[in-house]
Amino acid sequence: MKIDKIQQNYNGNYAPQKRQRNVSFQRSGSSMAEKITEALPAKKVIEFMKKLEWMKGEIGGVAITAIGTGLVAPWPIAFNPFVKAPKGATKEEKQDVTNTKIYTALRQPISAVLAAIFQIGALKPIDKFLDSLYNNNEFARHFDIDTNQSLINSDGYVERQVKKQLKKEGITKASKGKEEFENLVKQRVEEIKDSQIDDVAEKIKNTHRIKIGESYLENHKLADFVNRQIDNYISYTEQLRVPTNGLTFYQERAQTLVENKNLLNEIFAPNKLPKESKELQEYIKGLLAKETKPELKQIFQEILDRPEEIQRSRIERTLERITKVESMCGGEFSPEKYLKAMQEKNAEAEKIIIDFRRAKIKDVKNATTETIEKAIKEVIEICHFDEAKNPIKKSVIRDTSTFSSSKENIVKKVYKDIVKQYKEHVKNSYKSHNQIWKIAIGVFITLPITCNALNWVYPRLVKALFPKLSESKKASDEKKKKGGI
Amino acid sequence: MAGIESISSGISNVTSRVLGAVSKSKPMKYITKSFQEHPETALALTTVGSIVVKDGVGCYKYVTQSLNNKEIPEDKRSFVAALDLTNGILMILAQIGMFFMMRKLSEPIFNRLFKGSFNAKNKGDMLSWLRSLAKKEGNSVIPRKIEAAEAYNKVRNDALSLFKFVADIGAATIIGKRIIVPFIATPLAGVVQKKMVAHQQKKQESSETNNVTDTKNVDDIKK
Repeated sequence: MKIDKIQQNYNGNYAPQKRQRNVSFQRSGSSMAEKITEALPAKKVIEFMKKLEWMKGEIGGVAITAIGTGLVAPWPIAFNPFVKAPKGATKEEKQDVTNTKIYTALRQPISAVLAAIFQIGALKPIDKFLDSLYNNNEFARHFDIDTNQSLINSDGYVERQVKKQLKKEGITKASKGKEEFENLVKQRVEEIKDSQIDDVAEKIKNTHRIKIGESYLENHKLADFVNRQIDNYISYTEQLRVPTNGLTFYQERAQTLVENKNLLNEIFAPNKLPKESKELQEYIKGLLAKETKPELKQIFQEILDRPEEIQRSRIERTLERITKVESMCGGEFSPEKYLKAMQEKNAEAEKIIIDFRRAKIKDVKNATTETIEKAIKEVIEICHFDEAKNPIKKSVIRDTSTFSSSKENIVKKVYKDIVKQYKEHVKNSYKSHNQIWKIAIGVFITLPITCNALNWVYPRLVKALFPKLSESKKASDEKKKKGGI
Repeated sequence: MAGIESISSGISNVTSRVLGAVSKSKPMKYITKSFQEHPETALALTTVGSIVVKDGVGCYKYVTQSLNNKEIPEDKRSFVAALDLTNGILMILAQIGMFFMMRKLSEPIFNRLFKGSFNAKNKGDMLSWLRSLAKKEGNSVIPRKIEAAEAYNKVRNDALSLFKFVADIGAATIIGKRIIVPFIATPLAGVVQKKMVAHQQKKQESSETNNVTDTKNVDDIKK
């Protein structure tokens, strides 16, 4: 990474963004990803795309093909410049050719509607049926164990179960109101999903195996989940390092902040800052106009370049940085001390990464419950830290979700993370079966039905709606039969 | 009610046993492994594969129907069938070609279309905003930069994944099959027809030298 890029990331030195974000952090059940989506400029498009998630797969393939067949295909057929009446053809003959092209083009939208009715219409209930088979161990046990969703149910299945249960309890959209009902469903779905993950995590913790019904998932698969999770922790820790080619920039910035500490604390004191964001912006602009030192001008400009709603937070963060820089230098700042502290932090992060790599299961193929247990326990030790014993480690990994000073929390988290790997594995495996069964049903059942229906409906419908076109086509066919191809 | 439940359970039981047996076959295991390792790619490939298989089946049906169509003069059936076959092959090739071409282009197109939402600046701002929001509302957990960045990346990757799927399949089935093929198919049909006529004539001439005379066919073809 180049220095200017690091500087850009640090500074946020970009054109100001005007858009206001009006999202609350405390909205019930909204995750960080949901909050981010709501604040994006393309929010509506992204939310719409999220709703189309069901299209990914066979149903989507059929739907997109139907859109192409119904809306696009008729035009090149109806206006195909290569299909024309022979030279010297009469006006009637030319009209016949045009009518034949339109007649042929009309087959496309009819075909698209039938595809939607027979293929998409059939695939939706088939999807539900397959999902119910793979989520119930009584049936799922007959399939490949990787696809068995009975231990951790699919999201759609849980949602259907919750809705059934609510119906039994007499809670409906009508009785609760749409929004409240949907929130209740969402809440219960999340509770069930969490409790299933907790249950499986607890079982793995006790046995270091995954038992589904009466069968066990092969050890090498569990070992693979453990290794994949370790890889995630490694890539997480890598992001905690200060890029080595950015150290000089951070060192110089720290020096500017500390040297101008008194001034910054004074001009950025909460009682000095205007309450309204517009006024705050004017205030910073005033500071920028008066300032002569280029390094301070740059700090003010960076604040102004941020969107209005985060300019205040940027100011607070600037003051926090001064405290952080000083504490990293043991109270008294010097550029050398600060550089050394950053290098020590990087070395600590590097050490953690090396420890993670060492904890990975080497012989995955022949992994045993013992090797799996050993690896997980090593990971727990790496993710756990003693605040008093290792202050540098603490400064690197404080407030992160991967590391914690609470052993109990970290044990829970590591096992849960492994279960999430298992869940992803089952989800992807099931997707393969779901896709193949739906393709088979499409090719052998719904497609022939659609074709036959089309052959029956198309001539009759066109004859009923456009009798002239139908006549032209008939005449042209007869002519072809008499005159050749 | 109990009767319906028992029938439904019976259907589920039989289906799961039959499909279960197939699911343990080698090809299915191979497909499942592909989904485990590269889920997005496997899904897109099987979807386009399904479209191609369906077109292949359709093409086979058209060709056999043409070959056996009593309403077409016997000596011309092979021409009609050849044209159907050319059209079918063209359709399949155009879709495969467009699918793989779009797979290379869809991510850059996505980046261009959504550059206002997914860029380094917006990402940085979003992280600061999430932190300031959490602080403002007195939330005890202030999201760290990495967690917020992960959530931001997830939103982008989910959107990209759907966009890629729709764009890749759309390019194959809409642009490839419905726009490109119709314009190539007609002139190509003319070329195939000419070649076949020439081939038939050559065959006819060679049979004439062997004193096997059957001028009727040649006359028909020349028509």
